[in-house]
Amino acid sequence: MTDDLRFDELQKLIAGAVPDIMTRLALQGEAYAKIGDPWVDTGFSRNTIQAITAGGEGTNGEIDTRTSPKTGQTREYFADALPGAPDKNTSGVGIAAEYGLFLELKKPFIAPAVQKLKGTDVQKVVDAVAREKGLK
Amino acid sequence: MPDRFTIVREFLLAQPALTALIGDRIEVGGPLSGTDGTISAQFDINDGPAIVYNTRGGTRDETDLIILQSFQFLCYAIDTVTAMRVADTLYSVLRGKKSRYILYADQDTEPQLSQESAADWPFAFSFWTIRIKER
Repeated sequence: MTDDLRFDELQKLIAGAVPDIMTRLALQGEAYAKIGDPWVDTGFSRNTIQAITAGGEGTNGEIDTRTSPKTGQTREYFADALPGAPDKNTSGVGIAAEYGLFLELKKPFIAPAVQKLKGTDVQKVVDAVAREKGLK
Repeated sequence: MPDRFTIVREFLLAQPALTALIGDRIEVGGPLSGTDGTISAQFDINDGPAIVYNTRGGTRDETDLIILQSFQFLCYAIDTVTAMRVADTLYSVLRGKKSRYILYADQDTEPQLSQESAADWPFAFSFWTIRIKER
């Protein structure tokens, strides 16, 4: 095996690892956002927090009828569609409830979830995937 | 060290290009619509544009002396064009600027438009990371 070939193989291994890393980070981000969501009443908005896996499809919009345990009021709740990932090296976390933006602006929980990921999880996930792929 | 809200507010109030638009109408908070269908603000949108800002998490650098504080800025105006102009002016006076406590400010996302649900108050919102010195 030549040095050039080895470098090519390394490139392929890294390229193959990136989607795994991005997907795992998105799933962890979804978990952090759901745990940190301070707005839970009917649970509708929390249910619409979703990870978009690397290269994955988005979500469809939905309508659900729920009753608030706090007020006893029953009404329809709407969720928008979440866009899919533009390529296999991109993933994301989104909230699809149509009022999700206002929840986030009132008391952010998506942004802190992403910041928490950037803190320590990135290195942990990279290490785990690198071990699985034989890069470490 | 003043609190981080005061640091940002005093910096913005010292920028003539911005105060020419918003005066001293800058307050801490989030979207202004309540669940009861009312709007709660210390300013009236008919008096001119205003900025409502808040923190949205952040981290510290490894020296523990610099806060990387994430902020959101909601730029309100009577119409969407003016709201976007306020957001663009905010960018021009804040991006990359320094003060005694601000080391650097960077806009994370381009401004986007939305509207309060309780009133026809449009706003342009953008997210920023501002590096603040602890002392």
